[in-house]
Amino acid sequence: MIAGFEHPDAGDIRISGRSVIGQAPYRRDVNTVFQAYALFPHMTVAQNVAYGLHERRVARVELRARVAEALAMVQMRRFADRKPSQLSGGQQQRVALARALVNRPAVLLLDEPLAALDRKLREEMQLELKLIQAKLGLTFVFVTHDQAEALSMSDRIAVMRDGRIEQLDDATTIYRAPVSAYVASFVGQQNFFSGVVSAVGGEVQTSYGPISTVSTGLSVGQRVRAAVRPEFVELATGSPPGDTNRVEGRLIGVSHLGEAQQYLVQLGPELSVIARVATPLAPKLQIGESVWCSWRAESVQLFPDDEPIATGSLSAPTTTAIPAQ
Amino acid sequence: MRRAVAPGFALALPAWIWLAAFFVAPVGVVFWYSFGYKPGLFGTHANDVLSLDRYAEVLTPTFFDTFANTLWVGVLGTALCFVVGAPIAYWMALKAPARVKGLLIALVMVPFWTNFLVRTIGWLILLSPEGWLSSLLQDLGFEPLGVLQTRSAVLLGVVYNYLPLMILPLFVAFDRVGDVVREASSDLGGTPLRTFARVTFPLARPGIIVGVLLVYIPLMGDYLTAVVLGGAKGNMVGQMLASQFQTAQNWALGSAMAIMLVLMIVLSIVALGALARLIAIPVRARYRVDLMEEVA
Repeated sequence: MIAGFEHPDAGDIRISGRSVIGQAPYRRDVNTVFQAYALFPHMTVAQNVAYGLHERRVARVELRARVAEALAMVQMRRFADRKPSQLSGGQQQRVALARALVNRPAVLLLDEPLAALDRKLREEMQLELKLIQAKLGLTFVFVTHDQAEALSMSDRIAVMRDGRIEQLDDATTIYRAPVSAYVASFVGQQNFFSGVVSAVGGEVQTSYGPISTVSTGLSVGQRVRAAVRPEFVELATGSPPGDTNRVEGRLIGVSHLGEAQQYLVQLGPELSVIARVATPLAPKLQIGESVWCSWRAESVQLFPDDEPIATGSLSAPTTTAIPAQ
Repeated sequence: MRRAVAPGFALALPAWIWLAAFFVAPVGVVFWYSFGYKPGLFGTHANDVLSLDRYAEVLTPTFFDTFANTLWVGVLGTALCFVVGAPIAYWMALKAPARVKGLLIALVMVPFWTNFLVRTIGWLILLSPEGWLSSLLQDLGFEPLGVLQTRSAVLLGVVYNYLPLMILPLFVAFDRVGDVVREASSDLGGTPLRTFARVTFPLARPGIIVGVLLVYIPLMGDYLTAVVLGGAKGNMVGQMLASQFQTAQNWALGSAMAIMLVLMIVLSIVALGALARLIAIPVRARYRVDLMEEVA
């Protein structure tokens, strides 16, 4: 819809303050980096990049300079005379990026541009994209299904559900203060406890004991879900001191994530808690061992019970927006 | 264990044998006959004395007139097929809903289920001055239809008979271009017309060449359409050639004509290809991007 290939049923899209509804794609100041690259197979790399400039009737000398500059920016200068079929996936991706960037559009739309790349290349390209964006100061709209990519790349993130924006905020706010259970569960992992608010101070009664929170704005007796991120959960073999939240369970799984260890602790027949601890601090625990999970009241968030949560969290798309600086 | 595998050309051997026996050899025979002569009233050909006399016989003003007429019908007929067929193929491949594509192709093929001659004679009935279309037009106050026995009637028949041969390769070509690169062009500022000129057309070019050749070559040898709808005015080389074999029983002369026809088809295609390349030169230069120039 931003690029103009689909038409919205309702609402408005404004670019630089002007509505683009009903405007054909070739009239919009938007360029797209397509998921499948969509390079022109019968043109050389340089001709691909020059395409938009040719259509805008940019003079020859300026055109050459801009094509050279765009290709240099994505480090594809020496491949200028190759055909797209002679390039690898990552190289084609770079050309697609240069082809869009060279036009200096008001909005650069990136439609899951890194989805087809392997992880290492993807991470390199993420970093490069951020650098290019910072250098050019263009608005990038980056569509991705990868929450980690969304968090690491963006200034502002729009979490979409069924075609509606659930939350539009910076990455930190989306992660730390999600507005709904959906956003909370969609971005990163969450442990959810169902319960009933029992005190105005924010205490929730669950079938695994009381959970104290610092949340306000909910009324006593309301059914809620309490959410805790795995990295806020601490593990210990003995009951932890103090008045922190705690539950006891049995360790049923440990997985090594590289920079962190992830523990799965079963509390009851239907509930397990995920805890994540940075590898240097990770306790040595035996599977089957009885462990205590604890977390501070400040790390708990409450959401009304009737809000849906994201299931199979990779199925819904997230949109990330990076505004011009 | 490594198994001995037959070399690549061995797999194509049956095809080569077929081609040699049923294409190369007959053309060779025709070529050989063209240097002979008709020995008498009842003989069709003899090769005991070889000469170029048959070619001299062929190259008369009558032949050139007929050849010019054939070329005219061939080039114009092919061009008309392209003009009519390209939009249909474009629409079928890129605009029509995906689920009706199969049905559309079937509809294009339907006329092929009837014999070529019967189809052409069908037009004879429709276009005849005493036919129902003509009387309908007369009832509406028009002149009786006088299109039969003219070149227009021949061209009409040609477009009708050869259109599927143009549409099918063009459909495949446009279908293979697909939406993705066309959307990319639009995204980069290409208007629909420019997108066609710079993306769709160049990518569909191989299919367009196939379609043009598939119509042009058989059309140059065709004479049924011309005989049925064009009468005496529709004289084509194919007709002259057939009459040498069937009526005059002069195989030697007929062979010489056949060889000349093949030669002229080849020459006209080469000329057409050269013309297309010539036209493409300024276009190529316009969109060449040589980054090295900037250094100088």
